[in-house]
Amino acid sequence: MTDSKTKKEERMDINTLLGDYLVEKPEPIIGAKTIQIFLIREILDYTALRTEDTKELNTVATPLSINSKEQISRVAFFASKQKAVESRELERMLRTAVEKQGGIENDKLELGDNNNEKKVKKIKQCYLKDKLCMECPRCVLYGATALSQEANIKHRIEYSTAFSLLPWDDIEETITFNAINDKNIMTGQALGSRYVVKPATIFPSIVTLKSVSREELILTIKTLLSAKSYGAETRIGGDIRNHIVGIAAGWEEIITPLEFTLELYDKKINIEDKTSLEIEQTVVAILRDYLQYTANPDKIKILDDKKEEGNGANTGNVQENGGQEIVDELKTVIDEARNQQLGSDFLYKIYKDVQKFRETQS
Amino acid sequence: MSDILDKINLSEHNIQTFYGCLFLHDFLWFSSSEISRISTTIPVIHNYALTYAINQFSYAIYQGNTPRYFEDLEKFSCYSTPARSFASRRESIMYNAIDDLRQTPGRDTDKYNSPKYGFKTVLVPEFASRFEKENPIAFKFYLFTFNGFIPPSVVRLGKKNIPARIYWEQIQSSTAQFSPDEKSPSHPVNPLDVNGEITGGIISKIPPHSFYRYASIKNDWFIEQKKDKSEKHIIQIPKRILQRMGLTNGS
Repeated sequence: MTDSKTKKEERMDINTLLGDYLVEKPEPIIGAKTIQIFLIREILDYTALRTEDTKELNTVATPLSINSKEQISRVAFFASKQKAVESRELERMLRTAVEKQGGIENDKLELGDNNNEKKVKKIKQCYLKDKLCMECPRCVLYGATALSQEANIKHRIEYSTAFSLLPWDDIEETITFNAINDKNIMTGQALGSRYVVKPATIFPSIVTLKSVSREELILTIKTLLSAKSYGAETRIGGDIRNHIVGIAAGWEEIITPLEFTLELYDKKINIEDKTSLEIEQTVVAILRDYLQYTANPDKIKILDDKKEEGNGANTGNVQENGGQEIVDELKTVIDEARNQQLGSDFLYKIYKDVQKFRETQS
Repeated sequence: MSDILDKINLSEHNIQTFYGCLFLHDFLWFSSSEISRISTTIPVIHNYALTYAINQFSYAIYQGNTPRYFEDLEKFSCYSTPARSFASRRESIMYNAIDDLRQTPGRDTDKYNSPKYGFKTVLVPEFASRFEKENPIAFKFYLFTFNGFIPPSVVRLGKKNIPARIYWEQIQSSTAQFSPDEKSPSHPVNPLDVNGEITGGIISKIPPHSFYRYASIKNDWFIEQKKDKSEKHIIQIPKRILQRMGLTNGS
């Protein structure tokens, strides 16, 4: 690796790319710093996205695409059904990481030594929905309501309903289920229908972060990448993979998930055949189009491929192409989050940040 | 001063006026009324909710149970009229929140302030391009901005902070005129914003207090601007804006 390459790779990290839109530590007063994470939620198994007793899929009428007024039905993947899974995923990840540092004993956790300073943090049990500890990074990011006189915590992560890329009738399937009684080999009353979304369905989606720290951005990306099971009846389906296809930062949100879906529909031709880089470029192009509506376009950063003159080798997020180095900014951020160890230093900082947050509130 | 004025130039006071057409891009839920675990949303948006949303302001720390609308609104960079939609559609949705420990929506004996199981009537998402912003599904309203504030075009609304797109159009006429005669503003009216007299109207019941979906008002200030062949913008100047300019009474 050349010296110039080393410098370039050093220069490109979360702080340099998104530092202007991150806070040093979470604060109770929420500012305008906004990060939108653009996802393609890819259905890998039959998935039941429903809330009603009828067990039918949730649907909503929308135009076919951004340029077509034809009204069609799309499957609605409610915000609450995304948020519940990811909030619990983050909680599981934190609990496991904390336990790996020594486990919780008498509500206390030792997070190891740093420069001979013993790091000890008190960790409370925390779970949805009626025992939120209000002292962990999940509670501070996702918000929590106090049961007594304590101050509440306002969420700083925003979810929105995701709309299927394709119309409802292209992606819906009705599966008949039957449960056989071993004794008489009869189904009896255990016979019915499951209304599900077929595998390979795509839900464009956006998760928005407000005034978050670098550590919270990392935890969110890790959560989105590791959450895998959504919807009802997850014992027999509901597998989903989240692909992060774009990140934009600014003092406001640029685009809504409904617009994102309708825009992508117009460009859906061969979307399955496109490389991740091509999809990312499509997303960047869509976002640039929406800058015309923003109040502060000069304050918006869309992660893109950065082309620079160079002579480095093809490593990491830097590829050489005809004498030009192409630095994939999105991959840089995702890889940094993915490679971040949830070790004692990281955990100590985020729990300490929460402690300061609560002290500010009290 | 106000006794001799019958015209006010808002731009001289660094106030701009915008016409907003808002489209819900997700299911909007707030509780206009709640009976037996069925919470209902009606297709109107209170001007305080809109003003908070456009200012992108919400409390993270809050002591007490009394809202601080008047203190907050003083500090904001804009002030909105209420909004209404003529054709917004509604739908009923069941909700449940699962307790991790018991894997149930919770026991009725639980007294925690978290949702368990119930129904909510919500307004459904609607999309229109900027070329169709006059669509009757749009929530239409007016916004007064201060000191060059440019309003964002994606805002979050309701109990679940759903995203909404607003297409803005600046009202070129910045002159408000006093009218002793009755006028019907082309927007809903918060009675607390009226400086003159309300002579009639239709009331929408919505927290924190009701407002007029349609109102007839006399002895108040209005901006009028032609909209198209048959319509025009008739914007009642809220009392708060008059106070900001040092005017509180009519001619």
